[in-house]
Amino acid sequence: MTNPLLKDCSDEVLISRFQNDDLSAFEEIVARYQGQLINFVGRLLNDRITAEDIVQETFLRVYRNKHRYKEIAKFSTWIYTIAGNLARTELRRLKIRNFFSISQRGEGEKDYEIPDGSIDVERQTEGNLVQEMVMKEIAKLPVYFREVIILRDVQDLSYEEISKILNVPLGTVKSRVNRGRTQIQKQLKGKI
Amino acid sequence: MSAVRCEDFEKAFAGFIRGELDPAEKARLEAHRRECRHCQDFSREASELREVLHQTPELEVSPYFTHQLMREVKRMEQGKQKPEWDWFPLPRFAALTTGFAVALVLGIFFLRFNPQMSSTPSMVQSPGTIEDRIQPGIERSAPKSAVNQTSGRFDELFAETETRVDTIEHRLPERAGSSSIAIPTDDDPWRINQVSTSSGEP
Repeated sequence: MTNPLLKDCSDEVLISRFQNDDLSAFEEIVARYQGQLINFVGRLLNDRITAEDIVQETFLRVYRNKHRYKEIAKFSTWIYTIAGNLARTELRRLKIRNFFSISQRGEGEKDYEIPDGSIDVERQTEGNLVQEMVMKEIAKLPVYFREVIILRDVQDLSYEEISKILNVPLGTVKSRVNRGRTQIQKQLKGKI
Repeated sequence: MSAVRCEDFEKAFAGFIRGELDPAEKARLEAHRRECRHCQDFSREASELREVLHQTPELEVSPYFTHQLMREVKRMEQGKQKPEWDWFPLPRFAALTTGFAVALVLGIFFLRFNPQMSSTPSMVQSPGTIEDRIQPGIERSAPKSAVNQTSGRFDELFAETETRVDTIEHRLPERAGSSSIAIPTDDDPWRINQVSTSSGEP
């Protein structure tokens, strides 16, 4: 249960209070960011369960390294950067694991796609079905397009903030967003 | 003014939407869109896509997420507190020390129970054994005769050396009343010259 008095505090005030050992400020940070981060990492990995583990690790890192945060950057940028780095590490790990599992597979064996248990397509309304199709197309994009599309179009972060989170130039972010959107549009052409 | 191609329109479209283009460029793109069916479709689809993406529902968060997280935090805090046996100078090299100890025990065990390594007599006999394996026809006494030969040669050398030492001793002058010293010559190191060091004699 979070402290209601902290609801109106800015992120920077919360982290400052947390740096002075106010645990309720940390709980408020968790309540404020858990949904956003799980959404970001979950869409990036296309796996909600793993996303929860990664976001948990993100908060634990914030807890352990609370004194490393300096108010030169926005707190949201800092926490998104931590989550993004952990998610990319996980993606690399998955890529390596997939590489070895494919190379070890025999010639006659078929590549079965594991269905995502969290999404029951039949029960979705038409609108949700379109969204799921779009999400599936996003999942097929290269990571560098996927992360900017999620941060910009799903999470609604500013280009400047995305640039800081990903540590890439502003122009690159804009270009990636544009190219990513164009690619999804081409993939979805005629399907919707 | 060059004509706008559809590719150029697609590339500049995001900037066009964000209102980042200068008025002249914007006017050119607008003009192209009015005439091009493909770019009209592209603009419409892009708007629809952004709309869909904005309305994407958030993923559900497990109701136990916060509880699990705070439990981890608590565990971490407890881990920070020093245990009672903290005086024991262990953990940093624990793995290395354990590995070394295991290797040592295995080494001792191996040396103790390996028959080839532990029985020294068989090693002493090994030259004969190897010879037997390589040349079974050679008699075992052969090495002994070789040792006898070497021993005889050594005796000869020893006797010769003794003779030479005797010679030197005989040639040395009587030490009493003389202060001469013996210096070996170049052609025969055993022959010595007498050099008088007494102040009164030449």
